[in-house]
Amino acid sequence: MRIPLVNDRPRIAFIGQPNSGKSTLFNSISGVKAKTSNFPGTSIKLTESTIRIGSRIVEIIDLPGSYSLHPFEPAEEVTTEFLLKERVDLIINVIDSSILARGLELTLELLETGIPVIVVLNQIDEAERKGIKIDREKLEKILGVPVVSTIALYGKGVDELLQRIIEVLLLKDYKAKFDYLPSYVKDELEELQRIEFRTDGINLDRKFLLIELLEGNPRIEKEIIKLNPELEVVLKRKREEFQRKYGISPIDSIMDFRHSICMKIAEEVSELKHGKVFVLDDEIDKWVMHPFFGYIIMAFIFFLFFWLIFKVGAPLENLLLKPFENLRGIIGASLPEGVLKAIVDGIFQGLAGGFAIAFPYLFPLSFLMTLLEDIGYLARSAFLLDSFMHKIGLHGKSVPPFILGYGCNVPAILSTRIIESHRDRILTSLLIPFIPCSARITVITALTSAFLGPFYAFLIYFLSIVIIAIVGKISFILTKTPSEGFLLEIPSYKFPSLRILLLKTYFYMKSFLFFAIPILIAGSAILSLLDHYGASRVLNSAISPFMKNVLDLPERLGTTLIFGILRKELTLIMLLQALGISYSQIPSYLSPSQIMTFTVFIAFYIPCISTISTIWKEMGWKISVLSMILSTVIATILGFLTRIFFSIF
Amino acid sequence: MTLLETENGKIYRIREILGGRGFRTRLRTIGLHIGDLIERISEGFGGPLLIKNISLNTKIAIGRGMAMKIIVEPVHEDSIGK
Repeated sequence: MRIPLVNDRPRIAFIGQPNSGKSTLFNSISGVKAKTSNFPGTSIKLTESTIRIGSRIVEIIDLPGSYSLHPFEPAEEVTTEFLLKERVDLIINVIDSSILARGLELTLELLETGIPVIVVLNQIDEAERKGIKIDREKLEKILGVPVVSTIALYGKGVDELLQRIIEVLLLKDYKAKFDYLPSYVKDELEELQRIEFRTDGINLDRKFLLIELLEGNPRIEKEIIKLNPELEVVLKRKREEFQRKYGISPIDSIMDFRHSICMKIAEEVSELKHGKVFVLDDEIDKWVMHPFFGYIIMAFIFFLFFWLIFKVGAPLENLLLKPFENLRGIIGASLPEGVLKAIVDGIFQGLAGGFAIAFPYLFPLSFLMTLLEDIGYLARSAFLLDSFMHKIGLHGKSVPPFILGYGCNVPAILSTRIIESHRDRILTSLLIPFIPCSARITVITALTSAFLGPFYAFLIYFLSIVIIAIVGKISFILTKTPSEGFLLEIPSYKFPSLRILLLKTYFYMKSFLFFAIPILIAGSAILSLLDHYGASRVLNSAISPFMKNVLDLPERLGTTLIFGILRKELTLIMLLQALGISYSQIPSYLSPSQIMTFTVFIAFYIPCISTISTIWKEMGWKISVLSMILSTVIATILGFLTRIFFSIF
Repeated sequence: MTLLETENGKIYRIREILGGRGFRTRLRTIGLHIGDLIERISEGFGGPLLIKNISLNTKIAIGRGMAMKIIVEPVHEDSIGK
């Protein structure tokens, strides 16, 4: 394969199996500049970045973790689809060194694509802890491609990797020379080779396509048959013939062969420390995954998780809010009544809301979420909660998306790509918006915790779990389809690196900092103006029957709910704006019943714009509309019940 | 016996994988093959099993329905030369 030198921006794709540390390596190379974007013609959302290596500028893309190019999960499908449809000049194949044999199975597939590959032996420290030492040079000789060892978590080996990337990019003629298929499979492939077929726009090696077609790779077959409809019958016949001739299906035969050759290579290049290696992981898991103690530990971890968020968030909020309010007072007093004052006041409210009210909770939440993920606890909670998920027709793989939902619903919905079954994915995506994300946590805490007591905040959390259980159960009864089985790899525990944790926390909060805060400020200023010119009165009176009769809330809060759809953080600021009061004055304007009803409604009604559009992109417009209707109906019922409850007790 | 009938802390060898081609291929890609040595580590509350693939060095959580389709035979620890 020739690297197009005319192409001044080579595109490098990072591909690796789940938990290989691929994204960590990607992050440590891309730094803070990485952004998620959509690729034309696909619904794929991927993280990419442009970096400079020496004198060259290259584009790097992080493809979702995949065990094989033979896809089972939607995430794996993304990787295969990307290779089929997009130009890739170089693949960085990241392998977890402690599971070399399995990692190599994907490597062999990648080598067949004809795209240049650099193999990265990541987490070599962990392999060594497990008593495995790998001869990198020997592996390089066997595979015929560059092999680099790294510890991505601490940035070790990254410089060498960049050096090798440049070498490969400058080398004009480059081809992996590894050949492993047995002669009888080769014979069959040769026969297939004689059939003419079109591969328009697919930049992958013909031989690779043939192997995958013989195997029956569903994603690749779909693409090729789209171009050559007549091939469908031919391939089916060929596979049946193969089965008859050799007594084994082509996929079993090829995969068996790939597996045994990978075991052999791994054995050849690894030096095993003899004697029983003490594996701390297993000792920890005996407790953490215990059918009784595991749940006690989990309850403790989640209690600590939320406790820490409030422990850090509340004082930080107090600290930051004062200067904003003081400044707002000083500026407000020095400006004459009028449009200018309305705008300035609106901007200040927005700034205070973003930096002093939302940020203090968002920061510890994002950080702790990243920590749970990086240590390896998220997958373990999936294991522990699997049987509960079965009760609502889902399984353990829906747990990590739910937990991520407490941070932000958007990445949570994207993370449902690890769920194989389409039905499970839809149900999980419909349930995620009922999890109060950090934006709503801000509003919930600021209103209920502060004015009614922390008990009420926990009540709303509890309510969110009850709602998920009820909606899940109902849809399970309606559809009657039991979930497909649960199969999840449990990664080994990792000692996280503070640098990577902070980097990931920054990515979590990035959209908030650069997207939400400007909207918050603009929204707040616009509302201020609407109020100034009396336009909000029209909006308010339009929804006033609903506000008054169903929720028993002041008519003036109508606009708040509309703006809240943009960003949930907005609702609190809008509440203050709409009532024309400062934060501390809330209890004198709203009764406890009204505060609780408002908070409950906000917590469960229409998900924010970003969530709606993510559901739309991932699942289609029908599901996103369904999600909006479902959440509004449930929020209305809950709001009404809250009001009734308060009027009785 | 099936994987479901095994005991925590004991070592087994996978003899057969029942079920459709899709299921067998899935197990293969995640790293469970016929002949692999596995140790059952734990069992969730009424839920999945946690097993360790000793041959590959991986840990996998597997649902009960799937575990029923995996046929294993016990292996004596001293016979693997550990």
